[in-house]
Amino acid sequence: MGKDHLGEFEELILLLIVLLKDEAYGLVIRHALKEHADRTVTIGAVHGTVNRLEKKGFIESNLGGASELRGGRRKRLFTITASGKKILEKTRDARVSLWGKIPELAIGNMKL
Amino acid sequence: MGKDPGVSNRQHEALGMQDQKLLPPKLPDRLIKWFVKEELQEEILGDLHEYHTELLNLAPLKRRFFYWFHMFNFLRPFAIKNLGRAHRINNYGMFKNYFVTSLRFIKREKAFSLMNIFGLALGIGCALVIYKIVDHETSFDKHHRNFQSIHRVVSEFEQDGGNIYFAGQPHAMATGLRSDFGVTAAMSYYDKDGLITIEDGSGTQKRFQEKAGIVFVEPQFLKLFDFDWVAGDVSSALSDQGKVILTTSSVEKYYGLKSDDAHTAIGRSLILENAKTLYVSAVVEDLPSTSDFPFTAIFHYQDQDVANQYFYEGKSWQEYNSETNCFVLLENGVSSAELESQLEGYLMKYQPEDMASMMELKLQPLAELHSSETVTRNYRGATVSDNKLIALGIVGLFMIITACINFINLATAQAVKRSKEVGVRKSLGGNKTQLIIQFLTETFLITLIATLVGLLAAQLLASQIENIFGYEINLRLFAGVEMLKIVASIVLLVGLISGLYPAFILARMNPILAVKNSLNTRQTSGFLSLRRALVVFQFAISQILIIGILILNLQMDYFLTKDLGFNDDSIIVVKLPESDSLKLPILKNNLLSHPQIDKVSFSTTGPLASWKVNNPIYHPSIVEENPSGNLKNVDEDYLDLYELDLIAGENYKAGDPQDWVVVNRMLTKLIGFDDPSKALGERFKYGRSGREFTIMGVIEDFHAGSLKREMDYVILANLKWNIYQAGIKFNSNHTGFSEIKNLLENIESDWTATFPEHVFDFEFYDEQLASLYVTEQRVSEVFKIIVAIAIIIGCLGLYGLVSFMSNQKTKEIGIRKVMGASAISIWNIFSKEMVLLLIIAFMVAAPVAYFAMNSWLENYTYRIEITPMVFIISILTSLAIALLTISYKSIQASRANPVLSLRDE
Repeated sequence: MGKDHLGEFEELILLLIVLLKDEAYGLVIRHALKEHADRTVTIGAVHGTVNRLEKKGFIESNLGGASELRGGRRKRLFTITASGKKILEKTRDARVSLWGKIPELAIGNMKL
Repeated sequence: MGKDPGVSNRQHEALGMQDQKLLPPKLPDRLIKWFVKEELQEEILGDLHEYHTELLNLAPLKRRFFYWFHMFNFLRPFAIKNLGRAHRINNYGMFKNYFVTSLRFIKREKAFSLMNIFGLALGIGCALVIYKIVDHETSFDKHHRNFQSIHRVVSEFEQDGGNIYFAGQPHAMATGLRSDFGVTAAMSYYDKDGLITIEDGSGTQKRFQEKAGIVFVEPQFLKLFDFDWVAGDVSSALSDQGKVILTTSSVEKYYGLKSDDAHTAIGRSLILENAKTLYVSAVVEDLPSTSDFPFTAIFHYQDQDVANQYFYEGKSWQEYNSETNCFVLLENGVSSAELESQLEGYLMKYQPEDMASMMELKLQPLAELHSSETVTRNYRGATVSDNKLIALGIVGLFMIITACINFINLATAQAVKRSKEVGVRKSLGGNKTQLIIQFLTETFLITLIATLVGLLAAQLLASQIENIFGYEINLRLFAGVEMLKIVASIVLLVGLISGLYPAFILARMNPILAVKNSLNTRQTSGFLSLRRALVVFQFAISQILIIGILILNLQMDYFLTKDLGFNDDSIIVVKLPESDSLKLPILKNNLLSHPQIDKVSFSTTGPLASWKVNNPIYHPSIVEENPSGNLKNVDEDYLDLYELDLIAGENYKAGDPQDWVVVNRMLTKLIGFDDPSKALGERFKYGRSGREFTIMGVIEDFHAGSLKREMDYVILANLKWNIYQAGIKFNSNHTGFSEIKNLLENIESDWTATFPEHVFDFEFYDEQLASLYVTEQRVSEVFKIIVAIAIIIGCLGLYGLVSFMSNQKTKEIGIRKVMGASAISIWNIFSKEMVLLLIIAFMVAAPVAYFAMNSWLENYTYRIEITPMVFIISILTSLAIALLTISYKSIQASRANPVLSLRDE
């Protein structure tokens, strides 16, 4: 996948990070996935994806919020970057424009 | 990102003290810490632990399952540690860059790279082949399991100029050692010319004269030495007389059986010396080329009675011949010194005192069978001393060193050209180590290519050497780990030796000067003088080699052309299988009936032969200790045919008494006559049996043995036994190819008519004599190749040096030309220095070569004197070659347009 491309799962997680604001870290994102998208994935899968997103520069992170539950370990909290926002918008626009180009009939059929 | 994970560890332990049950299992944590990148461990472990608290309401088993499952799910590329690769990844790009620049450099400087690769390849190829030769020569007989403990019994004779040793032992020796000392011992008798006849069902006979040799051994021999059994086994193979062991190739030769069917040869028959029928009892694989026992058939010891007329049922303690050897196995920790001390005086038990007191028995380890300088006899017929191998190894090393020197010269010559690159790299932050690594990479790349080319060169060289030495040199790279190891270490060693110095020189350049391209002799003169030293060294090596080959060749010429005291020209030598007094006169008459044949003479050997009948001479006036005489039984035509010079008395005639002899001048002196004519009629005793001879004639001294040795006391006797060959002198007017062919056909038909049951074979006598020096001949041929290669490498180095100088002096030459210097005077600038270096090298080389070659010549009793001419030729040749080499470059420099060289600033 190219650097300026967003996969479906990546897009989902990116959106959730925006949604979770300052509380976005691995485990919470996993919960949100279950809650909002009805997707159950392993913790590892989430970590892998955010790691990739960070490498692509769509999110940035800082460590914080250690708790006893975590054995005193800090969380890696993610926030979206400007380019992350841009790519989200770009993806959304592409979809909207595609939807707009599809005739009603086809949509009807597809909904079946 | 990589925060200290130790902090959380401590907290984990603090927490662990509260309630162990609610905590996640520790093993997954440990695993995570083991395989996950350190900078990710904190967040991942944190999430996992937090996740664990969510699982607390589940059953423990389920909880553990989920936890483990998620843990293992972190086995993902992004999370797994790079297992120590992290650092290399950093350098990878740099190495790639080094590699690419190296390749670019090789491509851009084609001439330079070609010379480098070519020079290195030649040196490496040469060294590889030499390594293979040395390896071959040092691995002889090592395939025997008992290699360390097998010894050969040799006799030691005390002599003033150092003890001498003989390998021959009496037939009863092994039996005696077995019964008296309880050791495992075995006799062997080697017959270099066994005649084997195969009868097929239809009654036709095929005859084979086994030049490789057959051997007769006692059954114990098979326990000492290892054979690769195809069929049959150790215990039964020679359990009785009448059995024979064949090798797979002789099975194929005799019975036409391929190796798959070799076992079917068992039970088939062959006839030995037309006298005895034997049956194949076992088949063994051909003996390896590194065996000093080159037999094709192994017979029972007692069966040699048909091949050896002096066998006497193997019971003799007094019959010595050099082909009868005795081998012992040292067992149970007995050392050879212990057994030797037990053997002291042992011969007294079986031999008359005067005989036994002459010698002591010694043990020679099997390892020395191939390398001994004192006992030069083995069944292969030649030993190769360790000293010779060391000398060869040194030459090989020299080849590598000259090639490396070459490389250093050429690479430093290029240094100025590369100064800009170095300057830029340094200015951009490249440090010295990096530059050194870069140039080493380059050297290794070139060395690697050169080694591959060198393997090809070695292949070509090996095929030449194989022709000379007659054994296969296996250079296949993947034939074994060993060859790969050798090649790898050559690459490593040559790369380091030749790469380090230029790399340091380049790396230490001052970047500012380098970029300004104003590097000149000031900065590089330090290594220029080293370069001069290297060139002197290289010159010296090639001059030593040139002097060496010159002297070697002169000595060879001397061997082949020295007046031996008799005539060896236009003589064909034919073997006589029987000394039958009825058949021989008929054969002589038949031969003489052909007009091309002038003379025929029957004799033991020619005047000069590689073997002899040797026995002590007794006479009251002899003062020398144990003089022995070389007895040749010859007929009355011998003196005439070989043109031996009769100086007193006369030759005996056919019917004269058998005790009448002709001796040489030395012998008359030995028995006290300065004037040979006074010795006529004198009687002396010969041999242990005390046979009496009367001197009827005296001939001038001649060489009866190789020129490597002193002349012998020679006795030509009118005896009718020990007649082994016919000398046939043909008319020298008939030397055309077809005439010789015709002549040989005539001889063969006469011979075959006389001896229908034998195989005809002939030799030209002068060629037979030349073959005495076959070792020297081979060495000289190999040396010629090596010298040629050394000279080529030297020329490449020289070319490198001159191109370096012309690079340095571009401006100087430009200015000189502008001021009106002629091309010749510019050529002079270069040649003056070269001539000087060459003369210095010569002054180093000449004494070294003189002493080395003088000590080599001392091996030979008859040898050339080393004359100044050799040295003059050597230096003139080197000068000519050197000046030719530099001329191209220096003429190029002197003809360059000064405007171009001066404009470049």
